[in-house]
Order: sequence, then C-alpha cells, then structure tokens
Amino acid sequence: MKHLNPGYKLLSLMIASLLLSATFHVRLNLLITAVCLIVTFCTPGVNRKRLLLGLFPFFLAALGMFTAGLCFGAEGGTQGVEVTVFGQRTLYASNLTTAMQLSSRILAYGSLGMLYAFTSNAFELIMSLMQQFHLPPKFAYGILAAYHFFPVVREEYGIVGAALKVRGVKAGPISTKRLFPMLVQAMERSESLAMAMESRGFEEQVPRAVAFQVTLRWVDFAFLFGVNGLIIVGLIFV
Amino acid sequence: MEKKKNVWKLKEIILVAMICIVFGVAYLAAVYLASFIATALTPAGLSPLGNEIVFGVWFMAATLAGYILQKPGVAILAEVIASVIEVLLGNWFGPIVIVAGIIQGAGAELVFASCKYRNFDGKVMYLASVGSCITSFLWSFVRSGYGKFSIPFLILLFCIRLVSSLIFSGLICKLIGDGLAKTGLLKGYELGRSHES
Repeated sequence: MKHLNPGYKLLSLMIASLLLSATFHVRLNLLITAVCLIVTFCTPGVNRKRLLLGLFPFFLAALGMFTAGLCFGAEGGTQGVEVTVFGQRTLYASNLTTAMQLSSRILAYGSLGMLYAFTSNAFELIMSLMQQFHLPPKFAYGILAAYHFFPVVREEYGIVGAALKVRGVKAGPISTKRLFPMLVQAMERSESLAMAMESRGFEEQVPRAVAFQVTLRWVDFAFLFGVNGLIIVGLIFV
Repeated sequence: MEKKKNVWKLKEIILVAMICIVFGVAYLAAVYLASFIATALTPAGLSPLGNEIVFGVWFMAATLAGYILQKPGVAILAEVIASVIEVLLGNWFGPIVIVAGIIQGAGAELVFASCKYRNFDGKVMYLASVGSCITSFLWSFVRSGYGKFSIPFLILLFCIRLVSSLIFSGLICKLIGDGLAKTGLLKGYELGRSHES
C-alpha cells in the first residue's frame, strides 16, 4: 500500500467513497470495513498502536449513528420508538435496518479513510498532486510550508490558553479571545514566510526541477480500476 | 474602483493555509468537546447533534479568508486547502473530506459571487455562512444518509447547524476580521485597505 502513488490512491479511495454514497448496502459496507482494516493492519510499517487507538472514536461515531437511526429513522412513517409510561422503549424492525445502514456507512467511510491515512505521507501526497495532477508549485509549497507549522500552532494554542488562565480570563476552546492572538501570529508568520521563500529564490513562472520524483506505475491504475470495479460488482451482486 | 486581479500571490496562499492551520487546531479542540457531547447523547440517539454544534467551525476558513482577501474563488479555495491539510494531518474520514470541502466552500462562494465580490458587510457574511450551511447539509444527505432520518429530527439538525454556522463563521469571523484590520496587519490585503479609506 505504501508504494502506491499517493495522488492516485487518494483519487481511487475518493471515487470508492462516492460509489458507496450512492446506495445503502449494509453487507458490502461491513465487508469493505473489514477488508480495509485488515489491509491497513497488515501493511508493514503502520503504527498499529495508533491504529487501534484511532478505532475507538471511530466505532463510537458509528454507534452514535446507529442509535440515532434507531430513534429517529424515517422509515415506516412513524418515529419508531414508543415510550411507555414506565420509560420502556419498543423499537421497530424497519428502524433497525436504517440504523444498520447509517452506521455501516460510517464504518466503511472511516475504514477507507484510515487505509489512506495510515499508509500515506503528507510530503509525498503534495509532490504527487504537483507532479501528476498539475497543482501549481506555489500552492504545493505554500501549503507544505504552512503545514509544517502545525505543531507550532498547536503549542501556541496551549500557550495562549495558559496565558488567559493566568490572567483569570475564561475562554472556551473556540472563543475569539483564544483565536485572535493566534491569528495575529498567523498573519505575521505568513508574511515573513512568503518573504523568506521569495528571497531564497522561489519564483512562480519559471520551470522547476524536482528532487523528489513520484512515480506513476501500472499498479496505480490497477488499484484505481480494481478497487472501484470490485465495489461496483459488489453493489450489483452481493 | 480598481479592477480586482484574480492572480494568487504566494503570500496570499500561505495566509489562507495559515488561517486553515489555526482553525484546524481550534477545530481539533472543539472536536474533543463535540465527541464528548456526542457520546453523552448516544443512548438517546441524539449523537449527530454533537457534531452539528461545532459544524460552523468548518466554514470559518472560507468566510474569514473570503472576508480578508475579497476576491473570486477565495472561499472555495480556502475550504479545499483546509481539507487537503485535514487529509495531510490524517483525518480518518480521509479522501472524502476534500469533496466536502469543495461543496462547503461553494456555498459561501455563491453568496460572495452574487454580490460580485464588492460588498462584504455583516449581512453578506451571515448569508455566506447560511450558504455553506445549506450546501453542507445537502451533502450530508449524500454522505451520511440524512435522508434516512425523520423530518422533525432533520429540522432539529438543520437548525442547530444553522445557528452554529451563523455564530462561528458569521459573527466570530466578522469580529476577528475587523479586529485584525484594526491592528494594521492587513494593510497588504483588501480588507485592510477598505478599513483605511
């Protein structure tokens, strides 16, 4: 999985997810979930501990959709839940189907996403988008430059929060008090970053040479058509 | 009025990407809160509400970048950059997030375009948030199968998402944008210039 072209892998899995959006196929969704998770788990070099930790919120989200489908499904024309005086709940079978459809879809999407996330590398993806999908270099390098500031910004988020706390100011996770100083920093940083790049000779309209070549092989096309072909076959026959 | 050029400068791209990173961090923090609420609501079948409460944060990059740069294509591009960054960071919904980004950005973009990128007052900002809210809600029908929910529940979900987007991407982005313009940091951008004159 790790040696596939990241751009084409992204495209393949994106089409696969869109194909799954077209229908509600519980068995196929569950099958895809199982296959994706097994493939991800068996790929050499995957951080398995992180994968297992990541599975937890993922199943929680699916469970959430399951109960939501159970209680608020539209099928059968009724609410599907009868609450008696004693608080007992009766569920209809049709809503169980809805619940399964909704939650299995979350599982299928999530497992496709995980398959991607755990076997790909940010730098290679951007390089592939630039080399195979004609993303202009200024976008590619601009995004990469900003992306590498993520750990700094995350640390800053904590610092701003602590500074507010010291002064006895109450601020929620997305309050303007927190965001504003961070955005001021971001503005200044982006200006100096752009200036730094340009002063080191980053030009937009000149031909570039790349040190890191992302290759495109027949395996990538095989993956693109294979995965989506199988899903289409699955949608028809399973 | 001078003609607005539709060429992207490197510093504008990095600015948009930086905004996306800041909101990405804020969003991660918000998601912990949201998933806590969602988990607490799971037994009642209300867990999608947790996600809806913070949904407006998704559109903040689009409306704030649109407000600062004020030129065609910013909103949609900001959302695409935001979603690419999400994928780079390993969002477990993966590739599909990019599609969602395009659709959400398109909502705000349509509103900005209908004002011909000239008018960027509070009303337009709120409308842009509503635009993103509507397109993203339509997308939820496709992606999360919202068509399977009953109508009253859908109305509840929609109202929460609407309020969330009005507050986060409408009100807060407008306040932040004006605040940043006042600091004088935005002199090189459209919003800063309009505040000077």
